Amino acid sequence: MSTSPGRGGAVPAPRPVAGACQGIEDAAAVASQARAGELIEIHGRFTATTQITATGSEASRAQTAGLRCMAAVRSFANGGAGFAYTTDVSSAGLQWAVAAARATRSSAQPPPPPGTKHVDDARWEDSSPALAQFEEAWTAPGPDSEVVLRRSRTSVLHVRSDGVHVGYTEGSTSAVVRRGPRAETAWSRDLRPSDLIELVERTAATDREQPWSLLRHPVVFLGGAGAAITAVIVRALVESPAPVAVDIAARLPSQFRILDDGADPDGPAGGPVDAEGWPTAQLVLAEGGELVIDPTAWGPPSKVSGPRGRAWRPDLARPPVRTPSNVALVADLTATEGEAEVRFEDIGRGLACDSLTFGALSFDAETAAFAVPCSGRLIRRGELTTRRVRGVLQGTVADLVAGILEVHPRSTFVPLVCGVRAVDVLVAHGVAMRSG
Amino acid sequence: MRADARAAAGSDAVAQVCRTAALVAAAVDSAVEPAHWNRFDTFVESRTRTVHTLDSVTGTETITGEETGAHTRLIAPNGAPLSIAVTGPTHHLVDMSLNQLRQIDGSGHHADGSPSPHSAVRRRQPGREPGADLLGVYLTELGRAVDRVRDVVSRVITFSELHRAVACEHSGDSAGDRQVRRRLHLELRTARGGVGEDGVVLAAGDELADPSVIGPFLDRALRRARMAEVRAAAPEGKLSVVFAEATAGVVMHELVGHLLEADIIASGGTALSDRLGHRVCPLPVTVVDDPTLAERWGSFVVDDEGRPALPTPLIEDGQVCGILSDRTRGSLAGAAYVGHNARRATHEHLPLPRMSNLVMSAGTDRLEDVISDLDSAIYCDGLTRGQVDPAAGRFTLSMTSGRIIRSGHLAESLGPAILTGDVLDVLGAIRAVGDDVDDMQTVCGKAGQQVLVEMSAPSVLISAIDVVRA
Repeated sequence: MSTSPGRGGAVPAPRPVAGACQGIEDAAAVASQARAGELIEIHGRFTATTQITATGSEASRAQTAGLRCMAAVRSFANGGAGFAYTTDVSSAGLQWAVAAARATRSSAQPPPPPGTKHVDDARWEDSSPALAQFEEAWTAPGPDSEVVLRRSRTSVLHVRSDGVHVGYTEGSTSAVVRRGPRAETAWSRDLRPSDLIELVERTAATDREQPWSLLRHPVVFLGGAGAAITAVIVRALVESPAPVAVDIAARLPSQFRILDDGADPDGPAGGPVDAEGWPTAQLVLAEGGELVIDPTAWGPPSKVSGPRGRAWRPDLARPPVRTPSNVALVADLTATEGEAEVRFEDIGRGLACDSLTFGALSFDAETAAFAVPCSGRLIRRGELTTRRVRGVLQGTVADLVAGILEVHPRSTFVPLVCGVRAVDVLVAHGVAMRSG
Repeated sequence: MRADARAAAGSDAVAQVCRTAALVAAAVDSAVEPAHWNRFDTFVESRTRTVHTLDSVTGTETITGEETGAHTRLIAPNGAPLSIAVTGPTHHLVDMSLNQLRQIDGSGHHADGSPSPHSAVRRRQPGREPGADLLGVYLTELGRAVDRVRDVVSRVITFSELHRAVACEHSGDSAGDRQVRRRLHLELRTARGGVGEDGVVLAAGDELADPSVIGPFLDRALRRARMAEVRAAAPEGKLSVVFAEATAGVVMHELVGHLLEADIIASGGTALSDRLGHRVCPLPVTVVDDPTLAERWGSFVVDDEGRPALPTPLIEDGQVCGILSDRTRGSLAGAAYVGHNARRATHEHLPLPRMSNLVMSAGTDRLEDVISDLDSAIYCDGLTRGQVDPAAGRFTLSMTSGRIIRSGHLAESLGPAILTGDVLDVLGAIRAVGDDVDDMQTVCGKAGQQVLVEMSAPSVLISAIDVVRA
């Protein structure tokens, strides 16, 4: 969908929720009422969701159907900007939001230059089968487990009074399997029933976890845990003072890079255009021992410099902010040639960490020191044992990245604070596991 | 705005969401076949939010907005639940609900004939509310006061105001409530890199002009910033920890409150639900969740299922004595526990048993005496990001701010650390409860839902917690 008919023209109806949000057709007309010297920007989202939650029995099968219409409005004039949001996407509601944005106009902020006028959105569509097909493929793993299937489709509309008028539709399907304290998540624009079965198998009952300590031993972060540790590294690159971030990039072995790709449709964040209507592209955060994007380049778009196309709105109740979208820790092809995964037989003793409690992360931005609860299976004499252990992983991000020996990206992303590619990472040294 | 005018505006807002709830409920009732579904309840919420931010580096910013939506719960004859959650223009909520219902139900039942909600819609006029300019003056003055402090190099002042009107229709009965939350927050940084913050709940914006409110608020943030200028690495191992007043409330929130929430208990039991009626603390500790306290961060008159708010004792005299519950989880643990604790982050979410204002009663110990009796320990006055594994009874708390206790005295400030342990072990290791009480306001997240909560607690000494530094 997309293309611009110009100022005041008809807006294409958002596909998944057409008819439910009639008033948004008037967005361009409302934006066109900008006063002399004023730029009005209207950013709307229309989301339809369906969710099925089941714990085994038919009576426990809970369904949810949701429909959400919301628009964020910015008014720029005289070097200042104002912001307001509303769920009343009727013409009257949008006019209220425009008036409220004008009334709150205070911060010094020039209007962003116009972005693209055309969007090719097909790659962001969801091609997963109906949720019912997942249910048919799934056998309840037991009363102590829960499966949540969720489908979401969102139409995004970006209209400005200077004629910018783009929109696209994105969709995805996700599955979460919880068994006791363990939870496994899969997210995709093309989720298959086999993915759900794999999740159920991953949460299969295991031995009770025992507290454990492992100092100066290798740790293999597997899949979602690899994504979580990648998110810790990215957080340090974005939030720590520039000298700390530069040091972290310098200690990352030269065969590895950290990317941020808002244009990758396989990732849960991002899109064909960013929250200010600019085309997205792949960015390098760190490579070759150098920090490519400085920490000061993240934040409100008006306050930072650097390339456009990376402004996002976690929700429409706040102005856009420049923040990582879909990040990935990747290796040069030559670094992992012939190796599809980490070889445990090369590790005498260590931890195969398959769970990091990212929500309990303790992180000191000033030093990039971190501690995070973890659990996994012990590696002994080169073999992955069935013994599950838990503790707190501890170290600094600089030491962590310096110890990275191997990186094996998987095809999936994990939605954390942003989208993070699942990855298997072998860290030879630099993190300690303390019993806790 | 004068108080009586505010009250009138509030009652208007409640009346409007009550009317909308009745309209959505009637439309859904007429649209569903009882053979397929029966409506359980309909919840409508309207919220407006304004946030003023004065950042000494990036400038002043104000954001404002409004959000309205409806959530209808239905039940199939076999007991399977269905939820219809819609967010959009008030006058479209009926149509949007029926549209979603048709997609799920597949009956093709047409919505023609449902009552028109258009007459119930009243639009707020755009523009600033009376008094908003005065608020700006107060905030600017506060900013200048902070900037006059000699070694403060940057500061962010945030004043947020939330107006939430809710109504719930259940079995022909409806109840509404209006909640207003105002909070002032200050974060400042000193020339030596210390960061300090403090927050205070305000009943009205004009309290910003009250020196008895603003003075101590500013002093607390400054004191914390100066203490944080030099921080040593936290010691590790099993240590005694004194939790400062209010901070101990976070401990009780994670270790007691969450483990006595009925939905978590229903998902497999918790370390505390198995101890109902039994003593878990050696001292006569009392912990009550009380949404009826006036003008607190977590207060409400009716819960998000339309039931009147009531205090819920959780621990009394050291014994576990109650659980937090709602309409659908009213009877658990072999006894009837009345559910008045249903809360939703927004109308889009299903209600869950949640805490509101968790209050731990004061003890008799003086904090100075407690500290002076300790040879080596940690004094923790900043906690964030608590997590608990209910069934296993394991918890982790992230300490953001603290000091070492050495030979009975508070010594240097400490860097961040993770505090972890077993819930029953730690409750059993409470050795002293202070005679001082303070409160703190925060946001509690559970199952993807963030709700405003308050914790009120005295300082507490726990004799053994595992500490791992970050």
